[in-house]
Amino acid sequence: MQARVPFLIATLATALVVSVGAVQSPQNRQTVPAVRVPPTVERSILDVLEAYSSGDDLAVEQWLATPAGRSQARYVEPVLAKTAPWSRARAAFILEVTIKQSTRGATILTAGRTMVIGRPSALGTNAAEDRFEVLWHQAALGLLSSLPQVSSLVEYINIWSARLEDARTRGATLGSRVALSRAFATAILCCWTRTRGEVVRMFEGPDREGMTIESALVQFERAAEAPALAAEARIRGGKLLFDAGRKNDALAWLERVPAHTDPALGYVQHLTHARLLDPDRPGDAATSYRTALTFSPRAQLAGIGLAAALLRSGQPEEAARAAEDARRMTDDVAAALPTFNKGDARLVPEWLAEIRRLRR
Amino acid sequence: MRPFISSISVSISISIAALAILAVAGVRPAAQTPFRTSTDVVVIDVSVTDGRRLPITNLTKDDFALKDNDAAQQILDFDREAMPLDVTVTIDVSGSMTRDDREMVSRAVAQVSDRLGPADRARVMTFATMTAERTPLAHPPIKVDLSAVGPGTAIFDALLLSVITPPLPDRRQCVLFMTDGQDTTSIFDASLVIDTARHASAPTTIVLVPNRAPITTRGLLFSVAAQTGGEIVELKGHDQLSQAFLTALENFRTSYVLRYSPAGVSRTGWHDVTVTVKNKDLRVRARRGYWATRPSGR
Repeated sequence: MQARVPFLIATLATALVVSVGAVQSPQNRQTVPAVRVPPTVERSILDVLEAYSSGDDLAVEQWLATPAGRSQARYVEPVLAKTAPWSRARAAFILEVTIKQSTRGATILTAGRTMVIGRPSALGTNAAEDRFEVLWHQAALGLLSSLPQVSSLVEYINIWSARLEDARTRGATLGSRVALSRAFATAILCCWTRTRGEVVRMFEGPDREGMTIESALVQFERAAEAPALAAEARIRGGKLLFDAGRKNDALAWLERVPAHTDPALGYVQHLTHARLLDPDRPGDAATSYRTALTFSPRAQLAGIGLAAALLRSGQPEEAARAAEDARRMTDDVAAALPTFNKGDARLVPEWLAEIRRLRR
Repeated sequence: MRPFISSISVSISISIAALAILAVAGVRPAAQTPFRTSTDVVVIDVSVTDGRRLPITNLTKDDFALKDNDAAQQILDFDREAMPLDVTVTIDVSGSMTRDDREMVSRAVAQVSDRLGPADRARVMTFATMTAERTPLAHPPIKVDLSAVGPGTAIFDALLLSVITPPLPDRRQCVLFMTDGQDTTSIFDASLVIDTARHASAPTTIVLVPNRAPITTRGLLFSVAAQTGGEIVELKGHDQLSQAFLTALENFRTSYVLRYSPAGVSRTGWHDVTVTVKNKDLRVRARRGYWATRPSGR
C-alpha cells in the first residue's frame, strides 16, 4: 500500500489539473447552463451509484475503466443535481469520481462540496455526519493541495473555514486540519514555484498576494497549537525556513517537533535536519540521516546523504558500505519529498477509506 | 590526441589518483610492488599528458616532485600501476536524453567493457530523479539496458553517489560520469558534492553531451572533477562518447602511482597535495589532497 500512495497521488493530481480553475462558488454554479442528459446515460450512472451505495467499493473504478464510463462521467454532476440532494453515499460517490475522473474532476468536486454543505443537519449537530463532512472536505483540500494553482485551494479553505467558524459560534468545535492547510497554502503563495506539481523551488520574486514567509510561519505556529497538527506544522515550517536558507531558524523549528510516528513526516524531518547539519557537522548529519532511514528504510536520498556525510567525517569504509546500500534503494520512496510537497494529498487514500466506511 | 574532443583543462594541472591513507602494516599488496612499510602511506595516482591529451608514459621517479601541505616529500615507490581497475560508469537516462543518445551510450559501455582486462571490474548506474545500479560491480563482459528513461534529472545527487567508492588497497578505481548537464531535481547542492569530492579516492571524468549544459552547471561539474583529479570532456558530436570513455580509461590505466610516507606535516586533518614534473609543458592531474585521519565531524 505504501508503495502505491505516490502513484495514487499522481493520479489524483492528473485527475484534477485540467479543470482546476473551475472550483466555483455556489453562486457561480448558477450560471452553468443546464445539461441534457440522455436517459440511458442517466440510468447507467444511477446503476453505478446504486452499486457503490450498496457497498461495492470498486464500482466507480470499474465503471470509469470502460470507454462508456469515461464518456458518461461528464454527466455525473447534472444527474446528481436533479435527483435527491443529500446522502453520504452520493457525496462519497462524487469524491470517488473526482479522484478517478480525468477531465472534469474539479467541477464535480465543487458539486460535491455544495451537496455536502447542503446536508440537512447543521454542522455540529450530528456526530456521524460531522465526521463524514470533515473527512470529505479534508479529502477535497488534499486533492487541491497537489495542484499548481493555489487559488482554488485558498478559495476552498475560506469556504470551509467560514463553515467551521459558524459552527463554533453555535458552540460546536470540530477538529480539523484547516489551519495547517491555510499555512501550507500561504507557504506556496509566498515562497514556492511548482513545476507540474512535482518540484518546488523557492520563489524568487515579489511577494504574491501580500504573502510573506513570516505570514506563513505565523500560520504554521497557529496550526501547531493543535496537538494533532503540531508535528507536521513544525516540520513544514522548518522545511520552509531551510528552503529559504535560514538555517538557524530552521534548526530551531525542527528541534521543537513533538514526538510522532508518521513515517512520511519523520523522513522529511530528519532528512532536512541532516541537510542543515551536513556542511559543518557531517558526523551529526550522519546520525540524522540514519534516523531518517529508520522512518523510510529504502529512501535513497537519505542513503546518499549518509554515505557522503560518513566520507566527509573521515569514515571511508562505512561511507562505501552506505553507498552500496544506497545504490540498491530503487523503490519509489524517493518520491517522499514530492509527496510531502503536495500537502494533504498523501492522506487522501486513508480518508477515502474511512469515507467509504461511513457512506452506508 | 583525439582532436574532436575538447578538454577543459584542470587549472592546477594535476591529476587524480586513488588516494588512500593506509595504516598499512602488511596491507599493501606485495604482488604489485616491493614497497612495504609499517607507517602510514599515501598513494596518489598521477596522470601526465601532453598538450594533445596524449598520455606520457616514459617518466621516471626523478621526474616528479611532490609536496604535502607545502612540505617536499620523498617518493618511496613509483610505478605505472599494474593493479586491476574498478570502473564506475554513471549514465544520465533522463527524458532529455534522446534515443540516439542512449544508443550511443550503450555502444560506449560495450566498448569500455571490451577494453577491460579479466581482473578488472565495472558497475553501471543510471540516473534520472533516482540513481539505480543497473549492473553491480562485476568482471567483463558488462551489458546494460538503457531503453527506459525517467522523469527529472538529479545530476548532483547521482554524482554524489558515484564518487563514493571503497578505499581498496589492491585495486584502482575511477568514475566515468556522463550527462547532458541539465539538472532539475537534485536535492543535494553542488557545494556539498564538491566538498565530498575532496575526500573521494576515485578520479572522476565527466563527459558532457554537446551544447546542453548551462554554463553554471559546467563550472560546478568542472570543480567536482578537478577535486578528484579528474576532468571534464565536452563532446562535439554524438559519435564521440565511446572514444571519450576509452581515452579516459586509457589515461587512467597508464597513469603513475606515487607512494610516500608524509614527513614534516601534521598527521591529522586536511592535506593539500601538489604534484609537478620537470617538463613544464606537460599537464599533470592528481587529486588535490586528502584527509589524514578521522576528524570528529562534530
